Amino acid sequence: MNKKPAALRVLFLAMALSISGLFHAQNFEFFAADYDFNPEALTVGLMDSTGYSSCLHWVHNYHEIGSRFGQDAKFRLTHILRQINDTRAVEEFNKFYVPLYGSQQPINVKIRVIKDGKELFVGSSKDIKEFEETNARVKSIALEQVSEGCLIESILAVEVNYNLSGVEYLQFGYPCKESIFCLIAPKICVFKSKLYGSEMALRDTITDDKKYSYIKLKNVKAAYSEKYAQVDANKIRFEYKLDEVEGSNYKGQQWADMGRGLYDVITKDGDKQKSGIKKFIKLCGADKLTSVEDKIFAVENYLKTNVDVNEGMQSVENLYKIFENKAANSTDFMRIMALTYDELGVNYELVGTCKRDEKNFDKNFHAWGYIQDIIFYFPDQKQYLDPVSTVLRYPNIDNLYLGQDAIRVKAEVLGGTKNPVTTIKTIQPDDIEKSIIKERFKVSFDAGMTENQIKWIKEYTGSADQGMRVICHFSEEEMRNKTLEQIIAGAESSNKVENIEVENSDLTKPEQYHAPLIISADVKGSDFLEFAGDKIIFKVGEVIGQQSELYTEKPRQCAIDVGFLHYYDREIRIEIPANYDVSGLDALKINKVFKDEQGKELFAFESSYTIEGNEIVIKIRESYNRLTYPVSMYDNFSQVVNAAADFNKVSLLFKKK
Amino acid sequence: MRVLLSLIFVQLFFAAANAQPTATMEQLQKRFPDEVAVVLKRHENIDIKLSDDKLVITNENISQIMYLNEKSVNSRGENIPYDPNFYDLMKLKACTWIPTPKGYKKEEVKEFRDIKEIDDDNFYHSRRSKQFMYPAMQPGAVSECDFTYNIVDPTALGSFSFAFGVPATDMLFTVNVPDGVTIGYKQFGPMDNVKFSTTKKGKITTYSWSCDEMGKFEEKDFTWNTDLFEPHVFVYINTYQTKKDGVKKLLGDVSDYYKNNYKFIANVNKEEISDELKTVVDSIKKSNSSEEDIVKNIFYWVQDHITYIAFEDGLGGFIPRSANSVCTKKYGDCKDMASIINEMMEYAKIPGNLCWIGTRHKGYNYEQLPLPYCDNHMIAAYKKNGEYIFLDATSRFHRFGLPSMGIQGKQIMISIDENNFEVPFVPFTSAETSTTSDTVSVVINGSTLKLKGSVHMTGFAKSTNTERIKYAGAQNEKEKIKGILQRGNNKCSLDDYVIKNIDNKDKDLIVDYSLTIPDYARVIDNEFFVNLNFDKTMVSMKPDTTDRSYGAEYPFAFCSNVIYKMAIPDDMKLKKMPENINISDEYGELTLSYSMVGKEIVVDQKYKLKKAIVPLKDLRLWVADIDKAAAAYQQVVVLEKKSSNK
Repeated sequence: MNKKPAALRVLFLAMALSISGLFHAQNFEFFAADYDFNPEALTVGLMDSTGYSSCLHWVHNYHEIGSRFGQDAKFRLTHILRQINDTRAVEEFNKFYVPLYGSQQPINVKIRVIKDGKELFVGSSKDIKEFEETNARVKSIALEQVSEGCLIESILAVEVNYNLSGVEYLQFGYPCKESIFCLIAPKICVFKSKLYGSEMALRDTITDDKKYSYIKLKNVKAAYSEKYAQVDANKIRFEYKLDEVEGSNYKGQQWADMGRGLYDVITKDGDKQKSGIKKFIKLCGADKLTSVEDKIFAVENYLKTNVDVNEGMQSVENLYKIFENKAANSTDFMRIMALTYDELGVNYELVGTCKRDEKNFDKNFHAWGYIQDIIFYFPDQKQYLDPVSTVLRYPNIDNLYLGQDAIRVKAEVLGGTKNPVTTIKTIQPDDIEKSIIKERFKVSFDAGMTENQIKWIKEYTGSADQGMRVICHFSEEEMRNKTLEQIIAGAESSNKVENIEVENSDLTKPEQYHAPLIISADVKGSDFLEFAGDKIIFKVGEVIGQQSELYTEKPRQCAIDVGFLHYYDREIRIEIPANYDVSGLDALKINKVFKDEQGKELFAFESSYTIEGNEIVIKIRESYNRLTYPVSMYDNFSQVVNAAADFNKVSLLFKKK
Repeated sequence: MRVLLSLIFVQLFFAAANAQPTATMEQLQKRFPDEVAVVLKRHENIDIKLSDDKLVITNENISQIMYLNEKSVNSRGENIPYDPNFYDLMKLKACTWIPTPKGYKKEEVKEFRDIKEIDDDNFYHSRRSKQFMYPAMQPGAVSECDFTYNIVDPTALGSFSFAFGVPATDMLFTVNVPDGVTIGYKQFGPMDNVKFSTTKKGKITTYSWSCDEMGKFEEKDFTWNTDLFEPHVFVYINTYQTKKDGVKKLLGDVSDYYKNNYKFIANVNKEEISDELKTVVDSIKKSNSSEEDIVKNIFYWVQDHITYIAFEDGLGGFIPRSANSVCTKKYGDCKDMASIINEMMEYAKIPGNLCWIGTRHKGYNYEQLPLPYCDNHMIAAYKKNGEYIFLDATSRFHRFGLPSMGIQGKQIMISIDENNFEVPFVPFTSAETSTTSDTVSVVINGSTLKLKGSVHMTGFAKSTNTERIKYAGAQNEKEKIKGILQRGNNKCSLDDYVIKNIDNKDKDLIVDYSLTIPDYARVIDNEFFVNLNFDKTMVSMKPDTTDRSYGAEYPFAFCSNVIYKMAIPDDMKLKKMPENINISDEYGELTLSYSMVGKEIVVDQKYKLKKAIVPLKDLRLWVADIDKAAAAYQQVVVLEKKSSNK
């Protein structure tokens, strides 16, 4: 996958080429191209993998740094023997796809189907079909004779983008008997590496002029999906980077080198672009604004509203040209943003990091693999900006950056010139008070107690509003209301939702974007009622909408991740109809509060009620005070999540006096 | 089988014209308030020529769309599909008309990417497309697209639609027909706003359909297709004059279309059947004596051993592959599966038939539209006692004797021989064909209910659930079973289950299970309120009737018969039972019967969807009955602690 912004891709290439000359004297054996099927595959017996539709006898991954056609090159070879256990696996694996991104070239593709020790099908070049998708070329083969109990052995070697760091996962969605990673490189190369999620040590073997550094894991458990978890980030993976080349002055890059690289790409040609930047400042109206925050917002908003980020666009000489094209690649998009802030005198720093769902940033392992994305930080405001996300505006950034360490690059002026200085800082999540979901429900009944009406109001702030604001801002009113109707009424509900009103949904207007998003509606119907003669059961717990539950049977694998610190502040006011008594109120009292050893609250669900005149007033507080929690806290955490689901089941009984 | 792209339908959201637009955004916003975009212009001209006894056909398209607000301009990309084998792209130009104070400024699209995308339904195909982005899109801008196809296949001229997801203006469809060529046309949907005319100039007759304005067309829930409700027209070449062979007939009636189809199967399976297939059929014959059992087991063998992988490159989308090849590869698409079934039957000396059919995703039957746009599927058939049994092995889990779900109610074209065919209708299956039955013992302990049952499923109830379980895979099986059986609330846990007969298509699918549902009974003041109506299927079938112009169509008719027996604990007594209910109309029936049998409360719940289709005229009645059912489902059983004096 080539997910990095164009800026980073350019930078990677530049860094890799800078050392390429060191290898030209070496004459490597071309391992990946000659790699062949393993004869042992024909003798392999079926594994017991009860509970899985397929399993892996072996997954061997090789990254080879070598040369091809006299040029330095890097190859990725993956050799898999997969056992097909059921119908789903037959359907899933009877087609073999080879996606090729950018300039990637396949140099060795082999696949065969084996059953009972016999080779039933061997793919050949005549079987290969080709597609050209928007972002990749794809080669594919339909596999013949795939059935339950067969084995599929595949070899795929691809020439990938040449760089001297890399990552490979050694854990998968299926159990694996043997998972190997091997790095093949000239023996003069000294790599720094780290295995995450396992204690196994790396072993080196040196033959002639090559060094094989490998790690072998046996009986790797399947990584399965879990709620409130970043499953991929938790998988066993191996990271490496070239740290030294013996006999040369080459030293692997440190964060400071990478920070300088980022800074140079984003701020280059500042003087050349000045006139265009000045025109843009007028265009977006920032010249008429006095507050720094207004300027930050105006620049960002104009760009995101008028220019489409499209990585297919060529970089332009004159950045102002992007306003004619109405589109730019992400590098040009970030460059014009940065240079405009420079021109406006807005103090900013560049932040390089990756998202939490992919991996946790390791500040001790200086590698480009951790710098997937660039965001902006404004030290005077202590706020961030997500430069290419069209659905976010200052000061909100994608929640998946929160809690990550990151390189932060600021320009310090020394002797009249700007020099980038890089430090490592954590992207601190916002305080819990900034992300609140405030819910207010006012319930009344019709005279015959056959229906209830609910005045339904929800207010979202901070990170809590991101999803809803996107729905409300980007959808047409008719579509928006249809979506909101489903959210408000709940799935398969026959309750009617009327008079939907949305306030502050326009993310292009700072006064709205910085105010709470408010959605209100009238809900009418009998879905929350059940009848037992003259007694009416009001399923009050369902008023707050279906809550998540955590009733898992498999052992918890991943740390808990709640997305962002947040709390729900709910109030339900129920008008007690005249001539009716109400009972069952005690069930409204729920108290699940967990604190750490210092007495600081970790997570909590509390509900209680009071009677005010002819109203029952129920107050509910549900809070998640940290971004992540260790697996050891899972039991307590699930009690809080389930307390909300328990509240869903609470009913009140109304009985005629 | 290849689905012929109806050329018009691929152009739902793009457009073009050579002159700059005349309307402004403000005018259109006033005329179409609340709309995101308007198709300003959509013109299509099919030009037919006769040259050296051959038909030369071009299809020119010009269309324009105006985007009326920020939200609509997000769709700046465009894909123009083509297939060099059938409709080759000869010309493509596109631009954006950018509004300026002095009128519109034109900005051409400069970059077109030629791509061939992976299709979820077809492993390989010959379709390509030109992909591009409209530059400088903004509210008030107009995207324009101008392209011309060379129609390689004269049997596939396509259709012109007057209905889009947004309002449309200035629509014109013309067909220029030279002397010596005759055409026909078929119109569908409400065409009141569409003017039709023919004019003759010299040797050219022009057929013309035009429409000044058409409101947007919206698809509703419980819909398989809207073909008969959207205004559109198909044209086809009926005959053409050749110097060499005189008048040649192409398409027109059902016989013509059969001839067109027959050529695709005329040379299929001419080689000798392979040893591998012979062995399979011999083995089936050895263990089955009756003709019907042999056919059944041939059908099951294909279902079980041939997986669905479709290749639709060129005529490969129409011509079934040989049975030998399908057997060797162990994969194929619908027509390949029909081919291997037919060949295996032939080797077994049992007459079989190859058939074409349009699935329920197509609304036409052969009499209405005897053109390649009518069908999209092939199956085999076997005639027993004068009745056809339809053999659709793409539906992997349904039993022999049942038509697959997607072909019920559709007209089928059954090939008898080169000159003979039949076009009967595939019947809808009865409600009794697809049943779910269960007798569930319920034990109440405080607010927790424990359920133990053994659910038996037949027909489509069986095949759909078998598919869900099988495709979930071993790692998700329990979760899937839980999803099928879950009742009460989301705390419901599946304690235990045993699946029986999932691989035996002739027997009921049985799942023995036990469930625990904590916090289900509402316990208030010594009273226990238990709603035993766990399954509220009828309510989930309520269609949206707002501005609806057609009926509701469900996958299949079915019956559900579930009996709950809840033992009353010794320390409790029954305080109240809901009244019995019976709601019945032409389309559905719900019966909820409550009784005390010994110390058990017995709730007998019967639900039947009698017909898969509820027409528009009866939708109001249908919805009213669903509302009555919803109210009946809300009635609860009340138990009381004996120690209580209340």
